[in-house]
Amino acid sequence: MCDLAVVLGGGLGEAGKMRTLKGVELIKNGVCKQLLLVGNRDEVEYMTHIALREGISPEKLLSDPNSEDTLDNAYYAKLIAQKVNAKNIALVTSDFHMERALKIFQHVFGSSYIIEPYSVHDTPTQEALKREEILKSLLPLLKLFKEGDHESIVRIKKTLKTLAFF
Amino acid sequence: MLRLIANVFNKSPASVKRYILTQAFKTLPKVIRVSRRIPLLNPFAGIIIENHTPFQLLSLSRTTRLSYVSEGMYTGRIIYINGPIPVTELGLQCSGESRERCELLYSTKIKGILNELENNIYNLNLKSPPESRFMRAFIHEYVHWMILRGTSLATLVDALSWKERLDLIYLLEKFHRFTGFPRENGGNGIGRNETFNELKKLENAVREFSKNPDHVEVFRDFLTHHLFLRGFYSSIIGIVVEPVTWVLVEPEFVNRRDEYLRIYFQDDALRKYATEILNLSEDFLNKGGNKGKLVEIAKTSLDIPLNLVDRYRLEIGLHHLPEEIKKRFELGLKGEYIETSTNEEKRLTTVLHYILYERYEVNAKVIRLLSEIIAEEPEVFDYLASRFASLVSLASQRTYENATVFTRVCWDGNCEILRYDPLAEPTLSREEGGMRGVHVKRTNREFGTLEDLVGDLPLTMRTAFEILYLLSLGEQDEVLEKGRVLMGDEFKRYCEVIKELKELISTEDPNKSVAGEILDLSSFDEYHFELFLKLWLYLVLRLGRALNKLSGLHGMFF
Repeated sequence: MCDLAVVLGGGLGEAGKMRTLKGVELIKNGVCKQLLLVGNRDEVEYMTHIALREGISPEKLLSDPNSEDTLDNAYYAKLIAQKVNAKNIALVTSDFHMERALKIFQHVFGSSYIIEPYSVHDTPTQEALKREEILKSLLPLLKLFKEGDHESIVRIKKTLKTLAFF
Repeated sequence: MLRLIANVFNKSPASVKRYILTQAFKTLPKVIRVSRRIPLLNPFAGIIIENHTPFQLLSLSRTTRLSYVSEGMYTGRIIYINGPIPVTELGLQCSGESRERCELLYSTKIKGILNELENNIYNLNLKSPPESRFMRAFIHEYVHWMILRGTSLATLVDALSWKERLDLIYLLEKFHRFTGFPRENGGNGIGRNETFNELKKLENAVREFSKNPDHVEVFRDFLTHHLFLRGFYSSIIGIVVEPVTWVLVEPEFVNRRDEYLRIYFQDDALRKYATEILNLSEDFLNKGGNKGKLVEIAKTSLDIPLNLVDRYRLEIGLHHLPEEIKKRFELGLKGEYIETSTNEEKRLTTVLHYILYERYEVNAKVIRLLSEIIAEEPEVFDYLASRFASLVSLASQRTYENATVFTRVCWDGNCEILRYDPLAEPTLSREEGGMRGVHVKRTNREFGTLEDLVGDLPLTMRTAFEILYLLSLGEQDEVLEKGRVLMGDEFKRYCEVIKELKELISTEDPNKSVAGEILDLSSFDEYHFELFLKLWLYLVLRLGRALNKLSGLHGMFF
């Protein structure tokens, strides 16, 4: 069974809503034990509101509002996963974003975690799709950083965020 | 002659003649049609402005004295003094010293000069210009840099230049993989017959390489950005930075304004704008206006919101952009509010991302290849990360402290390009502050520029294109002048090779040219790419590493 369903913030519209509902579904169907919502402050507030409205009990709901990008999502999600001793993770995000998000999560969490993808269909703007393609092309750079190593991850964040690349 | 061309391109003389006469330089209406056909997805770069041919675009850049014949060059980030200048003219004693030691002395010196200028630039009284050729050029370029630094147009030209370089790095890495052609432009070049033999051997591989649609598209992207960078934005920047610089520090230019305006601005429309800005600036100072205020006004006129640049490109037409910039300048003199770009909008990475979104599918391949290469070079990545971090944070500030200054100086019979980098202070050790000591494993080169990741050939493609373009315009003298300044002992051989190249690309009709075909983006395809590659290889093989001496890093300049 999955220990933690991690839902990545997707703005304050349909994408964010659909991702949250997918996470809710994983809890309600007994696939995962707890729900973690990560994103920026507004996104987390929005997703929390939806999750509670859909009947998720507060004790099963975790959140972190410190993310600015996918790399942050993975970093903060891992800190919480460590706290609650979650090893099996369900990763919830939009389908067009999943390839990159999954690779980043696998790298940040390391091989002692199992990350399962749960995609939500999305119809992003052309601009978002183009951005995603360019960002995906930078994934080989992850190789420069030791998988699952905390210090290494902090260094990735510092470096790549400066370049506004992830 | 046709036989010679036929020999290089492995075609019959008749077919070469037919080809040249039927496919050469296309007319204006066709270019206009192309501009409407090719999707313009990128907010900051396009294909063609509506009433300029690519040739006219590039010609513009020659009207603002931004070409190599100038003593120096500037961007919003870099000052480059062409030289070659005896190092003693900078007050340095490098005789018997290593390059590293001399660069350290140079860095300390340049840092001092920059600080001096920063504090005293408005107090300079230059009724008689400094005797030192270096200082004359330096002050001129320093004021240009001071005006342009931190503006949106500075970021735009920087981002376009980076994009060009990324494209050429991709092409050269792929070319090496496809053809096995060496990464290094080593040796002194080979003879003409030997070159033809080598070209013959490479023929099939070059043809296969040029058939790949990704390669064609990346090269066309390079051409597009280069046309805009060197042919358009650089000229527009010139209408402000030149006259304001003259008024501030070059009274002899102001006194002989008609002569200098003609030299700097051969294009009538641009000369008109430059003249107006010169007169307005002069009036402003004569009426007691503050020199610092004038610089701020000039900066504001160039710090145009990039979405406005885009609107001019898409809706109004880029040829109105100089008019808009002049209006902004006038409003600034009247003290009226002028909208400028935000720091976020003019971040180098923001602009570069937008440029990458255009034709994102092929651009993603360019970035992926580069990422894969860098992923194998942790030392280079660490260096790049620290350097980019500084550049990115500095680029959007209007008054960042110092320029990077390159100067070609000579001592003990050798000439070297020395570099002062404010982000790697001379007091720091090489390991801490400079790029010396960073080694690229895959090419076994010391890391100096991003191109070192794939060898030393990428920038020679741009140089070859510029040479072809100038020769096609009949500007052989300019091509030779470039070599005279930079080739040193190899100038004689350079002259021979340029003469040969001119013969190779000559046609019976002076209005038609091989470069014209390459520049006509409407019909640019694998055949044109192959044609270009062969001419580029001809130069590479004939000149050897001497060709590298002609390649500048920034795309705004040849």
